[in-house]
Formats: sequence, C-alpha cells, structure tokens
Amino acid sequence: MGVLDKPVTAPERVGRNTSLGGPNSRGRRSSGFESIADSPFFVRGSIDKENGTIPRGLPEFLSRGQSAPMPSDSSGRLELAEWIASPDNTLTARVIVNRVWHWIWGRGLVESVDNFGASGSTPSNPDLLDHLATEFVTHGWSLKKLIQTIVGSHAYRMQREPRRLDAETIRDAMLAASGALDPSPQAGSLIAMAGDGPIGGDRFQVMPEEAVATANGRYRSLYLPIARSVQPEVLSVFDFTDPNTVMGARETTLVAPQALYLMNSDFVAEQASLLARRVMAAGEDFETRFRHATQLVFSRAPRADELAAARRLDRGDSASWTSICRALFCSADFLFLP
Amino acid sequence: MNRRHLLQSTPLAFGWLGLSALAAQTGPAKSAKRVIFLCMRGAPSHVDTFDYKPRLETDSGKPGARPGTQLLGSRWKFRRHGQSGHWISELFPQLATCADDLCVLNGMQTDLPAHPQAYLKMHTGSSQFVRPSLGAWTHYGLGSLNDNLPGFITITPASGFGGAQNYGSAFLPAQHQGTRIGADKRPITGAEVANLRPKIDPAGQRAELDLVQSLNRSHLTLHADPQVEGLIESYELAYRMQSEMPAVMDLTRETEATRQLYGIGETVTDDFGRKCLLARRLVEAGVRFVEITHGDWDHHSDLGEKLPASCAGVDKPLCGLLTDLKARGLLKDTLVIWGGEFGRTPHVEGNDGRDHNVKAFTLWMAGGGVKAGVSHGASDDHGYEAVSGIVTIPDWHATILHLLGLDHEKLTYRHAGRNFRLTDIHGSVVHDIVG
Repeated sequence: MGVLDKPVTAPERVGRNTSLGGPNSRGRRSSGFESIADSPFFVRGSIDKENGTIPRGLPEFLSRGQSAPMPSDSSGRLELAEWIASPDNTLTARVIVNRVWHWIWGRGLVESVDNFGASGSTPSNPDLLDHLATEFVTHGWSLKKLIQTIVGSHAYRMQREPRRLDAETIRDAMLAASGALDPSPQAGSLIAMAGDGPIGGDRFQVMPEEAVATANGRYRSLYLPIARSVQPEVLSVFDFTDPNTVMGARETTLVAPQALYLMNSDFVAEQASLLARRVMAAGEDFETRFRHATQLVFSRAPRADELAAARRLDRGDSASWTSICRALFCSADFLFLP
Repeated sequence: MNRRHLLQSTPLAFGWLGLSALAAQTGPAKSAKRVIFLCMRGAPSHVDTFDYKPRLETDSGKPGARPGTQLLGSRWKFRRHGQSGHWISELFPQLATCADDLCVLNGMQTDLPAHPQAYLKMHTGSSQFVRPSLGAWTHYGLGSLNDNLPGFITITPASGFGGAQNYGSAFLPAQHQGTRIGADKRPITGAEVANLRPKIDPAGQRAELDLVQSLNRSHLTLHADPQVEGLIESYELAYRMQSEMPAVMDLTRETEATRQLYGIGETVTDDFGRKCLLARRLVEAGVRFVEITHGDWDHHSDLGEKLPASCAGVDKPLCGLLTDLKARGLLKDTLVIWGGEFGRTPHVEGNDGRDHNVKAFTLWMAGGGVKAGVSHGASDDHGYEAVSGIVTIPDWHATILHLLGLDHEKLTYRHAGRNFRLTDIHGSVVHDIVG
C-alpha cells in the first residue's frame, strides 16, 4: 500500500529508475516514503507518464463512492485497515470464509476464490456463506473458531474428494514424523537478518537468491523466508504460490520434479534417516518398527500387504530403514488427504 | 480436483490435447517444432554489430538526438556477407559466415529502459505483472516431445532482472515452468538439474521405488483415485528422467570435431560453446524450449574492451550451433533466436560507453521457418530510433508463436475470471519474415 503513503517525487523517481541498472546508481538513495502526500496518477501504470494526482481514498468501485476524505496528517493506512476489517464490510469476511472453506474442502463455496466480482462464479450455497461470514465476525474474526466450526460439522465427516497436501504441510508433516520439528518461531527470518537491500541481482545485493532457495531448517514452513523473486525449493516444487500474485486457490500438480525431490533431495533423505533412527529405537523386530513408522507417518496401523512389501527391504540396518521410511514419505497415504 | 483439472496437471501430458487441435487449424505457420533462445543479458549494442550506420561514423562527435548528447561512431568495420549481403561488423567474423541463415530484425522496440522491466517484458510480455514466460506458454501450447525430459529448460538463467519469473509459469500449471540447469555467472561445466542424482545405488533405489509403488497400488485398491495413478506415473517418469538426463547432458559423447565446431576447449569460447552444444543435445532429445543466458552485455563503459570480449565469447559457438543444426537437418524446424532486452544509444556515455536504448535494437532469428537471409525493419541514420518495420515485443512474441503453429490470440489460459494471453491485447504477426 505504499502508493497510499507518500509518493516518490519526480527527481527521486529518476534516481530509482537508474538504480534499476543504470551506471549512476551507487550511493545512498531516498526510500521515497518520507512524507505524506497524494500519489501522482501514472497513466496506464507507467512510471514515466504522470498526469495530475489522485487524492488518497478507497477505490470507488469497492466503497460505492462512500469514501470519507483521508486525514491530511496521516497516510490513510489506518482508515484503510479499519474499512477492510469493518463488520459492515461483508466482502472481507465472505472472501476469507470462502478461502478457508476452499482450503479445507478443495473447492470454495464460490469456486473463483480470487474473484467475487461480476465475472466470478456465483456461490453454490449463498446462505451458508453468509451464515459463516456473520458467525466469523461475531466470533471476533477468529480463524481457529471458523475452522473448528467447519471440521466439526456433519458435512465434514461425510466423504470428501481426496487431494494432495500443500507444500507447507508436506514439509511440516515430514519434520513432525522424523521428530525434528521445532514448533517455535524462528527469531527473525533470513530476510530480516539480512537487512535492507535487494536479493540476488548484480549490485547492492544483501543476500544471493540461493540463500532463499535453499533455506530449510527445522522450524515450521510458515517461518521460511519468502522473497518476491525466489522461494525455498522445498515449497516451490509443490506448487507454492508465486508471492507476487493474488492466489487463494493453488494449483495441485503431480509432476516429475516433485517425485525427484522426494526420491533424491537432501532434505527428504535427512528426515527419512532421522525417522529410521526413531523407529529402530522403538523395538528390535521388523513388525514393531514398521508399526511405529506407519503410526508416525500415516497415523494408523499398517495393512498386511504393506507389511509384506516393506519386509522385503528390511536388512535390519539404518540404510534399509532409511529406504523404508523414505518410501513412506513418497506414498499416496502420506501425500494425500483422504 | 475434477477430471479436466487432472488432465491438465498430471505428467500424462494430456493438458495440451485441446490446444494441439487448435494448432492444427489453418493459419499459424507451424514450421518450428522447438526453440533455442540465446538471451544476451544486459543488452548488446546494435550499432556496433548488426545495424550498420555509416552516418554515425561520419557524424561522430556531433550532437545526438537526445539533447546534450554526443554521437559516437562505431570503431568496428562493417562488411556485407554472403548472398544475403547482411551488414555484420568485424566483431562477429565466424557468425558472418552463416549470414545467409539469419533473419535480422533491425526495427525492434521495447518500452522501459531499465533491465529488470525490459528483461521481464521480453520473457513474459509484461514488465508490471507476474505472467507466464515465453517458454512456459510454448510448452503449455505444444506439450512435450519426450516425456522423459523436462519440456522447458533454462541454462544459467539471470538471477536478477526478475529472476525465476523469467522462466516461471505464473498461473499456468507448474509443469510448464522452466527447469534450471546451472546458475548465473557460473560455468556450465558440472551443472546439473536439481535432485537428479540418487542418494543410493540403482538397485537399492529401484527396490525402494518398488515399495513406493506397492504402497500406492495398495492405496488405489481402497480408494480408486485417478490422482494416485498420476502420482505412480510421476515416479516412473522421474526414474526415467534421472537415467536419461545425464546421458543427454554428457558432452563427451560428441566427437572432437563437433566440440571444436562449438569452440569447446578454447578459453574464450569454451563456456558458451558448451551451453550451445548442450542446447542442441537437449532439443535433439525432445526438449521443446531451451534458453541460454549469456552476459554481461551492459557496456556503459570500456566499450572498446568489453564489447569485443562479449562478442568473442559467443561468435564461434553461434556459428557452430547453426552449422551443426543445419548438418543434422534440425535447423529447418528449430527456431534459433539471438538478442537482448534492448539496444544501446548511438551517443556516448562517459568516455567510452553506450547507454540503454529502447527505441531501436536488433534481434536475429534463424531456422524454424523464418525467412533466411533477409533483414526486416530499419532504424534512423544514427540507429537511435526505429523508423520502419517496427517490431514490438508483443509482435515478436506473436511471430514466434505463429512459427510454432500457435495463434497468439487463441493461446489463452483462464485465470482470475478472464482469459490471459502472452501478448495481452497487443501483437501482430510479422508475416514478412515468415517463410
């Protein structure tokens, strides 16, 4: 929402332009957001075509022209936030409720989760959407409460379409099964630690892109660094959304790079090896160990055919148990939500 | 996940069925089956290489079109080459022998004179928004020629300038995104596709994979789910890919004569030569779109030293690639593209540099059904601004898709409530250069 703050003034903008690769860009530049003013109107979004200014306010098509004038001594961000999260603004509540529904069921009540406009799809059950949105606001915008309501419902206990876990869950579930998961937040992300400056690129880089691409560790996926130009491989390989886009409904693909990641990556090998150590400590015989493994990875006892198939790999050593554990991580029973 | 969704997102590669029907319609040329895009990161100077400006030489030192600037004549001699009579400077002596294969576009233009914006525009059609890349659109439109290999590969891509967006799939399904080999500014020798090397011996891995597939088949007997069939197939594909890919990437399988043709073994040309030979091996094995990045061409200073060095690094490999493709009968349906994100100014920057120029620059294409030995478009007397045969980035994209048999107005993907195109609402096919 930088545009609602102080805009970049013309000479500073020239400075920014050249900083994108020009020769005269060395040295300290202004951030362009030091004082409060209205933004210039950039014709068709082009930074070199200015035409007047736009008073700060809410987009007319969203506020039905009801937008109050913004205070002259502050940016208007507070007013914007209050308007977005106002109980009277039913759009916000319906959009987030629909997203949560989508994440749980694989399909939203409104299927076009990013488009509640005229070209989007109509809700399959508008009353339910309104009910959930109203309840959501009444319960203080609590996502936890909303999720409890949905997963506690009779409908949730009926058959659902199976689907693959999302990137974060695959990684977190592996760390949880291997016993390596550190649930505490990381003390400042990689990006925060690096400080101001571009990631990657030729000049002024504070961090190479690889540092983000290979970021992993044992904390939850939620705490992995996300940069505009690059995401951790462990997430991007499983259809993590490009953070530049608005994307409430991710693609779910089943492609060879994911299979290669599960079969050959250092991360999965490490988790399989830790899990192997864990299940080998659980007992001496194959069956005790394998039962412990499926309990940790599938949260259930093994089926007879699974026991028989896994037994063929068991040589009693950590290498063969690492193989068995990796195979469990590669299986549909782990990767899919029934 | 519904049925259509599944067909679009599994490795069975059905996603393009509807589109191949579209491609079969009359209209687009369909003369190119695959693309090798040689991307010169940083923007090469056109007035010192492929756009001969005798007036720039005679007017050197006089004021340029932009106020307060001074023209700088090219210090390199130009000569006509081949039957085509293409003007090529002495910076490309080897490539000049392939002049008759080239279709030279001298009227190129783009929008914004900053690298990241222009680079993204060139690769995705948009400098403002996140959009699928040219390679992703191509792969989405035409699918794979070899299911055991990635369909879109990018060799040592730029890490800045928009980074992975330049080979990303944005809202297109993820299987269309480019697979990266190597990293920016690093030698290609030793570079690998991520996670291609097994952690254990082949027999052990096969046994492990057999366990995976037994578990998956067991799952399938309880839940008849087509997605799990897709998962099973993805492991088999990955297994075949990890055995096929290293062989394709192994340049020692080429004869010494071929390696020499690309300048491999010579200090100056070794790295780019390897990239070009790798690209040929990849397209030969069925990869649909290969991009090679070479940099840095951003010659703001020391043009006299840096430009010849950049040209020398690519000259022999470029000629080698065209010669080799032709000898193998691949050039006729392989579209080779050479160029950067914009051109450079005819006026001097500092003592001996050229600044960014979006108003005129040169790209060339070869093979794949483009007219060989022709040039299209022209810039003004000094090479500052295109004056005829202007080709914008959307025009250029439309033409590439056309050569591949795809109508740029019909190659769409529905996202966020509307259909998206590589060319957005722009673009006209440059029919004059289609053979």
